[in-house]
Amino acid sequence: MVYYLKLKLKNMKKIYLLPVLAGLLTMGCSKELDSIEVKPLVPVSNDAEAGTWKLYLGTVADYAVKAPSTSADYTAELATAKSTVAGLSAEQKTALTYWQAGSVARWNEIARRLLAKYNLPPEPNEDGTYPVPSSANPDAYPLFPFANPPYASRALALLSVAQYDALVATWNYKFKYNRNNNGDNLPDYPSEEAVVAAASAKVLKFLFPRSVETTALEAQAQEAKMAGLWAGKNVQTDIDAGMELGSAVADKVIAYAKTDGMGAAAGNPTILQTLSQAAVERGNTAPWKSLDIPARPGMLMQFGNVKTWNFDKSTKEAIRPTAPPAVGSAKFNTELDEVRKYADNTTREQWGIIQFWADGLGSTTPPGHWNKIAVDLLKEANFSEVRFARTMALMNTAVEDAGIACWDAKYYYFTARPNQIDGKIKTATGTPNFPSFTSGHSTFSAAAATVLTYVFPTKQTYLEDFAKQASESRIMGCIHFRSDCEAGLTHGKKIGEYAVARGKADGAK
Amino acid sequence: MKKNLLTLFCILTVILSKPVLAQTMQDGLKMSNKQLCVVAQYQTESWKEYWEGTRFRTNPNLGTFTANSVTLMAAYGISEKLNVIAMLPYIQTSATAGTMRGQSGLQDLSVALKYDFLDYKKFRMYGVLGASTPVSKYIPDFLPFSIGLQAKTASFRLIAHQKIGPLHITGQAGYVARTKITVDRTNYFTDDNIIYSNSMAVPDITNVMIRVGMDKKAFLAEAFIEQTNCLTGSDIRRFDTPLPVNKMDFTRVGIFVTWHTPIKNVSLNFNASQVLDGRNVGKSTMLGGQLQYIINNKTSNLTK
Repeated sequence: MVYYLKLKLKNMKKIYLLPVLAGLLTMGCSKELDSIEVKPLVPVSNDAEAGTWKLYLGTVADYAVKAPSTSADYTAELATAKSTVAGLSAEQKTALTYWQAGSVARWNEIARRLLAKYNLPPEPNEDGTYPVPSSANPDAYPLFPFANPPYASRALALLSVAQYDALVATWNYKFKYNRNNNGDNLPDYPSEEAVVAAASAKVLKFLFPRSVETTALEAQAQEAKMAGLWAGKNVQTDIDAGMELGSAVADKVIAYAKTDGMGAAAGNPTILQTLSQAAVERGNTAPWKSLDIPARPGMLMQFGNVKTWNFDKSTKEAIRPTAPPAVGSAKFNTELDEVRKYADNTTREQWGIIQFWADGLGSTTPPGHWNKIAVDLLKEANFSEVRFARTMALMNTAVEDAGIACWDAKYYYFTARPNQIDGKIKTATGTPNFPSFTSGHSTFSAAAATVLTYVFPTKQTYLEDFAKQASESRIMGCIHFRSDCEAGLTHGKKIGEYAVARGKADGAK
Repeated sequence: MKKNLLTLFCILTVILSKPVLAQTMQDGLKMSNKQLCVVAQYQTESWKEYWEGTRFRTNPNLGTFTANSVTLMAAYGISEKLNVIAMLPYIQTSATAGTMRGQSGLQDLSVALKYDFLDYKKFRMYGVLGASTPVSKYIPDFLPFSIGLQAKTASFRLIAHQKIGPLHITGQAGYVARTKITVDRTNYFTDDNIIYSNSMAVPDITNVMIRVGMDKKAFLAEAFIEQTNCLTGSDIRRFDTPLPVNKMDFTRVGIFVTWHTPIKNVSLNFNASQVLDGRNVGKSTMLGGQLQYIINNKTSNLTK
């Protein structure tokens, strides 16, 4: 033993140690992270007919945009814009590069940052109860919102719907008034950058009302709206009309959000008890319990009652997955054993998959993860802003519908997590604080993948494999049974198909 | 006396806060030419309270966190002036509450060259050049359960050592550069921003330490205080999980006792330490024991 060690040290000294030291000292220890390339969005088509596409809320006629001036005022405006472009500061040029990557994509990115920032659960009070974040008092702890996965699904749906409706209306007026000073194939009035800025910032301020965020969002909107002018495409009245239109669309979306049922989604301990009791009466012998210490009321227990986008309440109930295997049944035991096997032995590759899809505390959540996947695909495809927004709205309404229908199933069946049944199971990711059946990851992912496959048929395998992997990661992480995940995938695909049906009938080719 | 000095410098305490540092890389002594010292160490670290940023708290969903480790270490005198030191810990982590799984595995192999470049009466100065690299594919982004951060490191230390009768005082200052790491997630939130990258910039570290010791017959005792700071890094947010890019700082005090057993060249060491203050770290209590054995190769028949 000693002899071996000595030889080893001698060898290390001569062959190994010195080169390693030298190598480490010269490696530079750079802390520079891989940066993301900023490519301007160069649409392959102007989608001239997009002004006729179907809105989510109301019709284009709900939004009046007055005809632009063609007189001497406009000539003066053009001259002002020209001199502004000639005198852009370095800061303005940087901002222009940033926004030229695409307005819909950038505001989606801003939303995802806010989701990650606010995806932290409230800390318990001294007496073991939990405080509830309040939109009326967002600056006090617990901060509003707790941007958990259902909250994120709704936030992204509202944002995408606002962007889409605003852009369809914009396209309508662009081609109606056909003001075009710069010779490209897209009329200038109203400015699409301004309309997206106004619509996005207003909806996000509603969703993230803390003063630090509203101030930041207003500043971002003031910068974003100028992108078209700084790029030499727009004059001030293009921007002003865009801001007015975007703001009006946001108002309609916010009015919808105020009555969609989210206000009651948090529930309370009494409602939780009622839901548990109802599941027991339907035959559940081991109702879900919070494994948080102290026990925390289940996350958004009434989110299943929030208004869906692409189907109605009766459809939601009709497509609700059938009951999972009963606790103690042969199938249940087989599935529990599968989870135990992962608890005892998880390979490094499986750990990688679990962590890739964890999307837990402080993350953009699974809906945010799928938004990043979608944005990357859309950028690559160089869609026009309006077609970009359409895909995001189709996907995000499906993802919110998935969240609603999944939460409905979760609190309807009220099933326990594997580690509630067997306390010896230790998890490789955080145990979510809501019932097990069906898996949220699976439902969100299948819905998103189904919509994206409709838009990008050549990516079908890639997207389906991704959804499957997201789903499996939850069994590997020991927080779900296989039935939860399989039912979630099937359910999510069905939900996605409702959005696809809408897409096929919305007027876009 | 000579024997005690040799023994002391063979002391290799693992500092369990990440990154793991060998005390030998920090003390004021060295091995003689051709001498080999091998050490086996067991250490346990635990904490119930921790600093979430600068906020001191407990977490009922974690209970008490424990990290146990077994470390093999060796130091060898290449010459009278130059030593090479190597160490490799096996670490196991767990918590008494919550649902999350503890981790275990071989962590990072550290090697260092320690050079005695100044001898003036009872004053000595050393330079230590070190490096470490992970030896297993442990998961770095599962804190606090991760056994390490997967960063490669390069370090440099200066050590000054003064003897005053039976007492000695050692001061050292070190800088540890750490490489950025690759994690399995695709983005993370830090410093109020979301970073779309699977690479994380683990902060570099500075470490200063003062040790005061006494050497008496079969016993040798030292007390130390150290301060470790990350040069960059973010705070853990309220009720969030920690990240490898957090700023993990701490102040720690401890004692170290050696007993030279009646068995020739065999010593037993005991160490205890306590984190007094910190940021994004646990308020750790550490206890450890070591068995060490010195082989003098000048007379050993193992040397051919």
